[in-house]
Amino acid sequence: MTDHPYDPRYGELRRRVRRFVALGTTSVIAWWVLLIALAGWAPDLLAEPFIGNVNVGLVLALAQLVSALAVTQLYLRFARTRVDPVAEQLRAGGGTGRVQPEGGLG
Amino acid sequence: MIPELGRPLPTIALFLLFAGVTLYLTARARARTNSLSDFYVAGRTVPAPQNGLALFGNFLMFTSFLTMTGEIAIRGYDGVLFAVGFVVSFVVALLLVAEPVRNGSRYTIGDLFSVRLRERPVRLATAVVTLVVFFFYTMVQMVGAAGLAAPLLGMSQPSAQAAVVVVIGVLTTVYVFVGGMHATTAVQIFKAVLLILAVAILAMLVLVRWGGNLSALLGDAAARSGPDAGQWLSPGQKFGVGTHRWEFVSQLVTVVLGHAALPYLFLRHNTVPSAREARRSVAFATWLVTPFYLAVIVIGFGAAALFGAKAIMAAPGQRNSAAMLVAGELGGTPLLAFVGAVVLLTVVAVTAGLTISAAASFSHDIYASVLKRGRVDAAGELRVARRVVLALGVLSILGGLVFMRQNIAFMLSLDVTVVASTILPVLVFAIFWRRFNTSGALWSLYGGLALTVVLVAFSPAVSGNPMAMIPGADFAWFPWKYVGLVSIPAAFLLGYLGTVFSREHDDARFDVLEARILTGAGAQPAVEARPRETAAVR
Repeated sequence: MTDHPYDPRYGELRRRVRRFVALGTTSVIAWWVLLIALAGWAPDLLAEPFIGNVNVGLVLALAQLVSALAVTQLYLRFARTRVDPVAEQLRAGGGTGRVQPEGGLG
Repeated sequence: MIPELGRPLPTIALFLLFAGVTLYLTARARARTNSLSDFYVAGRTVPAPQNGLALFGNFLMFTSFLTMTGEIAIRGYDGVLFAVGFVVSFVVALLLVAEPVRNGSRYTIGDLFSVRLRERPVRLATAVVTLVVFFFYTMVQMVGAAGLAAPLLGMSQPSAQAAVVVVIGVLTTVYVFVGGMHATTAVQIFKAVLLILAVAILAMLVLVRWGGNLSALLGDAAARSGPDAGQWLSPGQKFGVGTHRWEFVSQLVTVVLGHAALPYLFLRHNTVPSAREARRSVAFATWLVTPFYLAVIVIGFGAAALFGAKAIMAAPGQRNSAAMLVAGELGGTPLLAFVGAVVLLTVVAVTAGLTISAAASFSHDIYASVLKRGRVDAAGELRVARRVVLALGVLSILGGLVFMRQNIAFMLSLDVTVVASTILPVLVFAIFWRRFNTSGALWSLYGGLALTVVLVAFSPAVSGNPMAMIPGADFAWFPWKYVGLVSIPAAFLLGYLGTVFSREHDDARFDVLEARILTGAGAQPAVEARPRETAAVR
């Protein structure tokens, strides 16, 4: 088991992925909780008409769907351009920067 | 005036045709099912778009379609929010679950945890949780299917219900036993395409009926469904206002967190060649699920506008009848038969996915690792996996027959809550928290499971009201049916406390897991070398 020298690219990749995942997950959940909270504590606001019988609540529900797809696409692009190339280099180098996987899979 | 539902003969004929196709797909899958990896994860050969379709087919239960349509028709805006939550959960699954599971595990989530935690206790605990989740979901499928005999087939006698349970149990067992994950995937893709078609037709017919005027549709739906036309479209129909708002928050937060980490979908992230494909397949499924639920919302509005809540609840199958009522009104017998047969196909496709993942949990985690301590070859594990499939098939049928007349709809929310209070916290800790250890995982898994089950057992879902599982008794001291707002934070806290109360921790193995998840180094390759297959499975 050879010890691989610490590769700065690995640390950078790790930070980058953690930041995106943490930010993405918390904002998706926060945005969701905001809508639920409005439904629970400001139902009159959501019942406000927007266009015809379509009210603010339905528009916000639709906005949730749109933002879900938007985050999906953002993440795909982030992973394709900012993660995959670095991960591939680290993998091709036979190691992962800091550590060498030991043995087979658990 | 309620039109008659369910056309027995055309629906059964069409379902038999679908079943014939699935059996043909299973026979084809049989030739490709040789190794253990073929059986569990289709040899990791499924391309992202197909896997996305299969993921959609694995995820969407009949409840996501039928019950959800009824829920929207009856509860209006609250039902809409519920549907939206399912879509949001896919984003969480994409960000947190898909790639770590693909890179960090071989087959089951127990693999991922045991890269960094003590193997046997943690495998046992995850397998126990997975099997409990399997049991509740499978009962929902089987008992739910028995209840569908009335709205789908127009037959409500117990013999018809029992026949539905047996047919579904047998078909599922045949797919999984004969063709493993290859067959399961093919059946789920077939079902996904038909279900999308059915929902698209129904939503189009509703929109055409209202000339594409959504506002008019909403106006008619609201007018039919409440004394006050504005009320139905505003929040508060399900839980009202006041203290019950917290239960509402509890339910909707749990929907998102629980569905993001469903253990029976973990195998599905391992059927693709790489983490990149796992990511793309979840994204693909998200693009399917979003328009799917939009269509379900439109159908729910249509059901409310055409029939109103009272008529729907009076029809056979109650809220499960909403979509069928719409099908009968707008498409007549052909559409009733088509939608009915597709729903039955949905039940078998989902049950197949549940069965293969439970079989993998038992044979891979409990048998090969806990009982045999890894001293079993792949062929032996495969043999056991197949036997487990048979046993699970028999148990599912028996369980379905026993619970057939009981109201067990609460098991659905119980299950999602269990997942969000066990698997989810442990997965998050295992991936992100360096200090995390075996003790923390066990506290979270067993503690979260016990707490959730106890709270739900003493909630209004099980006793204390006419809609409960045991309507005659009242031991419900916990006020909410949806306990996630208590059990999820508690499970995270248990994971934290369990960790800090134990000195064990292994930084080196955490580094291995983290690097494997981030870069794929040491992850299972797209094509596994044959010798590995016969090597001892740890």
